[in-house]
Amino acid sequence: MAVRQNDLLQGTLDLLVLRSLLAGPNHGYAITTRIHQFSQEVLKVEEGSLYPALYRMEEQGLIESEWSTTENNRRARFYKLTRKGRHAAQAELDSWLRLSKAITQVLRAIEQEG
Amino acid sequence: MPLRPPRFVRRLVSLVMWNQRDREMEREMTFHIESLTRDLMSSGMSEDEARATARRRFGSMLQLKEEGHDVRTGHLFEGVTRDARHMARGLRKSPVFTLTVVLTLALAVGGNTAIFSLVDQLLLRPLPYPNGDQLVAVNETFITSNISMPSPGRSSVSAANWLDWQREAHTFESFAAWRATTFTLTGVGDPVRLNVQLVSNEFFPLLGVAPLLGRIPTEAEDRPNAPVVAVLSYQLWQRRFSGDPNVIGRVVQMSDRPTEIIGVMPAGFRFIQQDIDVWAPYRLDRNAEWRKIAGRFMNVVARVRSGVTVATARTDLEGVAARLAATHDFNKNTSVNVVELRKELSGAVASSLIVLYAAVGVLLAIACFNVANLLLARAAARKKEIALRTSLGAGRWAIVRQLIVESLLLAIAGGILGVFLARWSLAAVMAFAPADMIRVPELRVDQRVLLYALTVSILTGLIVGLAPALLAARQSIISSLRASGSSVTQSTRLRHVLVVAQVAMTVVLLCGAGLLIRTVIALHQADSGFDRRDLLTMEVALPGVRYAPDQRTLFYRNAVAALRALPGVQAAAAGNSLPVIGGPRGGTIFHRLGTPELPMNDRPSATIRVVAPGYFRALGVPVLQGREFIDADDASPTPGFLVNEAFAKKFLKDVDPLAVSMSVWMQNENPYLPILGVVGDVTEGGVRASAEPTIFYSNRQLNETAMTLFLRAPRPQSQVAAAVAALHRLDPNLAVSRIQTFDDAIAESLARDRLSAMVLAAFAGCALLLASLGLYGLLAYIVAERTKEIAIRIALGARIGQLRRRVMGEGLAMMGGGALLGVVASLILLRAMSSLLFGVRPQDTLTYVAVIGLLTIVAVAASYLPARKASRIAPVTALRQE
Repeated sequence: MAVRQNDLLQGTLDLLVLRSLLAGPNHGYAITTRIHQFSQEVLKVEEGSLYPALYRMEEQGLIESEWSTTENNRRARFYKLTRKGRHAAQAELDSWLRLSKAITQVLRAIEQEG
Repeated sequence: MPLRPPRFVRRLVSLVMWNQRDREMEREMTFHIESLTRDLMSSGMSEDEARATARRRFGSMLQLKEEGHDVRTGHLFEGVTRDARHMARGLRKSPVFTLTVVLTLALAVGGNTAIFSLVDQLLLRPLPYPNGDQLVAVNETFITSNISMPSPGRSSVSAANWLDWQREAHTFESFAAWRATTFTLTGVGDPVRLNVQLVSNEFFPLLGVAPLLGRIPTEAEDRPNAPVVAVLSYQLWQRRFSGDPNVIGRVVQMSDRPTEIIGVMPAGFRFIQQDIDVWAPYRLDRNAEWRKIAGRFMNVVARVRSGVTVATARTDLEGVAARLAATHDFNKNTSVNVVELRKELSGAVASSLIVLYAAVGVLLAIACFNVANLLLARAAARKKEIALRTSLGAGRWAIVRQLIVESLLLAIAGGILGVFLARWSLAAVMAFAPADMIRVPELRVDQRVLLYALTVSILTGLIVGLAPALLAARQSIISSLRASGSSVTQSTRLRHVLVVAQVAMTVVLLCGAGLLIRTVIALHQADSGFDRRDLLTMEVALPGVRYAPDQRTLFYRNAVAALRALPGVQAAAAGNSLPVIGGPRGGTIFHRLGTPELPMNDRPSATIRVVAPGYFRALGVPVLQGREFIDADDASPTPGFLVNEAFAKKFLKDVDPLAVSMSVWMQNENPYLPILGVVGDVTEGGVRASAEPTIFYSNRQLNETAMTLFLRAPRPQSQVAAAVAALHRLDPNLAVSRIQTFDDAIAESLARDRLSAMVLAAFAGCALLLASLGLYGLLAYIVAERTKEIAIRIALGARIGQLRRRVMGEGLAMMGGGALLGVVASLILLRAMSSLLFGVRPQDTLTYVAVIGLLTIVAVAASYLPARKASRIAPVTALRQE
């Protein structure tokens, strides 16, 4: 079953995009496929959400873009993290880990109680 | 990391680079779709299938691009410009709709702008004098109202009081006295009558306006026996002296006195009266005992000290007046009336203007409703388009914004056209209105007015766009995609309400216009008490220097005889001014022999007019008792008086008027003289007024330098040249002015009423047009929307006549509802117009019936066309369409 991005907690799309760019500059299509693959095909990022998010983060100065050539020798727009984006990726990750840890703990506790 | 420019610079750059970025986004998305297609193909899909899936997955490319823009540049500006371009394209594609809306709005905004420009220049704008809000007009008032004056309770000012106020009222900077008169200018071209304001030396400094050339009169020149000097108006300087700057110091003959020209006022300068040619010093003797030797004869304008409010100054002057009233018998029972000069200037025009402004506001509301209606119809027609856009991901806000932008575009186009309309109509008003009615030199559409027009347009755009936009926002996508539009929707219900409201407001405007038209007709037909047909009138002023009192009487006797002797002339006469609209000679107190001698201000008073022998017969005023003045009376310097019926009714109820002898305070010697006759009443102070108790002097007893001459002839205009020639035979240096028929003079005095009625009727006509268009449009829309339903009915055998009746019934029902509301509203609202009406009540049944009749005819016509269309629907074609 594919989980659509809509179902993800708000803000996680930004986190996923930023983390996936941590590995190096990439274009929009590659970002969707990477997330799709890494999530073992559970998460599917909709284009309609991805590009607005990319433009927004570029606007916020978290990422920047330039036109470059893909391995297949095609022109594509590559996004890469700025220094600010790197910090944001770390901060987002920390807060996500904190949150998921907290949720896991709550769920465990409830499970043990029951 | 590269240096990033600040965010607003980036936004600005991205705004400028819009097209560039647009292409980039498109390329980026094309790349995405192609990559996806390739991957899908490699997982086994056919190329076409893969491409289609990729496209579907990607959704609306346009939408993504739009959102990309939104993120980058701040939504509003860019969204709006894009919408504007999009909508302008759409509007160009439906020219009839666009033209209808733009013209409707142009009409409403234009009318509004024109009337606002009048309101602004007459009521809102500062007076053309520095600190003009500190200027006030001061009148004396009578606390007991038994002194009858042309304007009840208010009178001119006694010179003694003016001088006392000057000394005692410290909240005022100064008081200036002025009085209108006429001079005859001779030796510079033909002899000409000049309109003159005699002004005290305080006048110009008080107004704070400097001359364009030369200087203003000095204090010494404003004393009796000082040599006469004159300040010219710009117009007279241009007209008679060709704008010659060397005119200063030149001595000309004014009323046969050598008069030195000392100054020229700037072009726009005027004070209360529009057509003044010359300002000359009053030259009043400030040491005379004015309370003993004269009554109230001057006007006073005053400047309140800066920092002092008019209210404070008024209280102060009322205190001074109360002290004077306690001290002097002459002042007993009198007080003062202090009016802001602005109010004095806007005067009677203000009430008409306010009614017109309200009317044009209603017209604007009707136009708004009409346009809102058209937009609703358009939105309904575009329901599917909107639903499609929504399903493709266009946000609700984006759609609302688009509709609002569309209506704003329309409103601004209408506004621009409206400003031109306003300019033309103002030019027309100025051409039509007599000079003294609109007391501004010109009516312009300037920045203030443009700003107003812009504001009105934008507000209109927002208001009319709101209804369709809100409805669009509320509509759920699914229901509107599914529904093929055969049910009565919210939008249609709202449109019904709008049409009914339009009809109601139209009824109010039509009734208002009807009342004013009835008023104008009544005013023109009013019986003023004499025969006003075929009457030519002209004014003549004798130079006092050349004509001694006796010679004046003789001149006018000869003049009347000369006019009467002209071929075709049936009668001729002379009086001190035009009856009805000309001012009387004055108003004063009198004493009847055998009644108790009351203190001065408790004595009865009456209006005074001066006539030459034969006046009443010539004008067709009946002599009810006794006789009128005859030439033989001129043998005695004091022949006696005539009084009118109103006088006899008020003061001589129980006595035989012809047995009465009375003394009238008008001259130095006021002997008791008999009443020779009683004549019929003539309206005094305008057609709307009624007769005042009046005492008539013969011009032998109270001789006048300036008189109005009358002649009656079948085609009065054809007698002008002969009449002037006859008068010039008596005195070649005489200026004969204001040559006009009495009917023309009356018509001119009614110009304001006529203009108000015309403008209101024009507004009401527009309103009727708009309302009928609205009614027609809605019915046509309903018929179009129900084509299928009607077709089924016809196919099932419904009677055509019945169908037609149903559509018409719907139209007439809306009209009826609107008419009912409108009549109720008129009955309540039009009472505010009472002061403008004459000879008709605000609840005039005839007007209301006529309006309803007119409305019914229009409603039948507006409903008939859609009804006919409904009855001609061919079932087979109509049903196949869907």
